[in-house]
Amino acid sequence: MAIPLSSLKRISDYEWEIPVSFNQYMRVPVRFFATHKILESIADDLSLTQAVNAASLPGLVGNVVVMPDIHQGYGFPIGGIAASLYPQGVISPGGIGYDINCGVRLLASKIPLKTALPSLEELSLALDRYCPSGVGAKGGIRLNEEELKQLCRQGSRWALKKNAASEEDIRFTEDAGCLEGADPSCVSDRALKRGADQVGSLGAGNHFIEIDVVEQIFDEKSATAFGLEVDCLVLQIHSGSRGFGHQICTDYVQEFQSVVRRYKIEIVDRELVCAPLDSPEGQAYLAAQRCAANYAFVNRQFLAHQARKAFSQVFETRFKNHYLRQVYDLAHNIGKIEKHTVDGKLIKVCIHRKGATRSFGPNSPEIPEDFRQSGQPVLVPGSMGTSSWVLAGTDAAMDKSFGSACHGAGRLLSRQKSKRAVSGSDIRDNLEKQGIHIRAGSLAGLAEEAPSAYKNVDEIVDVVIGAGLARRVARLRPLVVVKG
Amino acid sequence: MNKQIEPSGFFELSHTADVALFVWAADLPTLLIQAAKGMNLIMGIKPAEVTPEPQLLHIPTHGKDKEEVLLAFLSELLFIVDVERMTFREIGITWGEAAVTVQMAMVPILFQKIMMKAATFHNLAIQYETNHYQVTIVFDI
Repeated sequence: MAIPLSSLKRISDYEWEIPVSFNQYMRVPVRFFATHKILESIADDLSLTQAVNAASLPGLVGNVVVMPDIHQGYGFPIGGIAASLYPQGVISPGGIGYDINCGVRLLASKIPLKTALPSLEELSLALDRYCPSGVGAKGGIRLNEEELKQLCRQGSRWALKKNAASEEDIRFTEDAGCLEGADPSCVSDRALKRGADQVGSLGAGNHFIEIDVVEQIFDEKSATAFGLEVDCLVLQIHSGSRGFGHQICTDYVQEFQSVVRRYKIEIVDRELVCAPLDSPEGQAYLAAQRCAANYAFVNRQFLAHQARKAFSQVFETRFKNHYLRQVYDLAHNIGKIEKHTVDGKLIKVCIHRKGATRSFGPNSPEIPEDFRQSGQPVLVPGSMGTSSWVLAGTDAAMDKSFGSACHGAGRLLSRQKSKRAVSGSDIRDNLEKQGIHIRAGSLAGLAEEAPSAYKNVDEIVDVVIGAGLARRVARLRPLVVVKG
Repeated sequence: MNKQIEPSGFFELSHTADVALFVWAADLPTLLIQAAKGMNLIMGIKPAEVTPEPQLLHIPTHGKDKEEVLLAFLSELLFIVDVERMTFREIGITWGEAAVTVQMAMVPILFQKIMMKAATFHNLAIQYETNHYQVTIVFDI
């Protein structure tokens, strides 16, 4: 049942709360960042109900935080953050998602738009060729079991050894592209089989590679720190841990069905199954999840490496300085052990981000030295054909949202409704009329991903800015979209 | 509703981020078969027109409720689709005491429209109504 908006307590123009008193199962409040308009847009779905359900998990601290790009998922809503005390609380695979470490990587170039315009069609073809995408697509490399296990343990450093990464790439990746404590012995044979030949593949659905131009800069100093120049090309990669991560989540969601019975944990939705963090089962999932997270970092690293080859092929003789320099790579489905201040005390928590991005502010020791003045880059891709945003993390985010911000536009319509409302060929034609080159696996897929199926990303970003969770740095305009 | 005319079947329901399938059948083995067929339809799987190869699956049932068995079965099929790029042309299920035995005639996948990450436990509850079983399954795609 949807939660009536009258149950929400207004904290500010951009913050609302569902108090613990709302329902007997809640252990912590739900803090929702949104405008009233966004609230009304989700009034009839179950997103807030799912946030309330998530607030019933044992060991949670602070608030369950919900971002303005919230939409209904399964178990946890998408666009949610929950923190459980470490090690006394629980870890829940549903609070992270099936696509573990689905995330975004942004690379920047010094190629001016004017120079690139005549080459965009050729570039779109090259990207399509170099970066495998679509259903059933394999990556360029096939790993044996031992290689895959090394990749799991080493993350992006494994790609460095294979000459597919630079030290700079690793420095500008969240957690240097490797969550420590990954243990492949906690990963099933099924997952290992699925992961063997998918490294370096984009996937399908809402995954994409996009070339944008930096249209407007709002903060010159931060833009310089990030390596962004107005009117120059940038590249976004949105992908995750592919079948490897999906299988790991599937395995542990199934296993935890009996774990909650064993530890007598009552849950209100079976997708909220969990295990105590200090149990062998909880530690096993954490270790396996880290393997999937590292796999996704490597996957995006190989896609970036291939994208660089595409750029070299097209621009080698036309523009000398065509190198794609990494701005940042960050996760929006992840579980990590972080330190946060809750009720005045600095404590260790297991943070669950599902459709939410880290947004650490200046002076955070966890972010590279280069970003200690600006805060870390926060990447917010829009829906197909709309603007994307580069923001910077803030200290206020550390206080209000466990150092988190939104991750995108957030779905408004189901895939079915979207396909009924628009045709894929109309979407393609409209994008091409806007001068956007599109490569897509299917017209039906385009219809499912139509801009009208998503919330307005500018409105989403207005909320996180208004709430102080991030600052505007740059707006990007799309030029080429490659979709699976 | 059609279910009163058809003894078993499925149809797709709207779900914001993903997709849901409503399935019904007179018995549990048929419920699983219909769920598998519905899942294949959602994925837009087109099987190759070749001689099928037999494949047997055993899904242990000890310690699992009906919903866990259903999801274990669908997850196995998703694994086979993703890794072996194969699907069933025909399928038969026996629900024994210790395990569900699945006999399939498998063929390569010629075409697949949608990639499915998982079948989820979200609001998963197999109910028995009057003379049939029914369940709504939410898939993450």
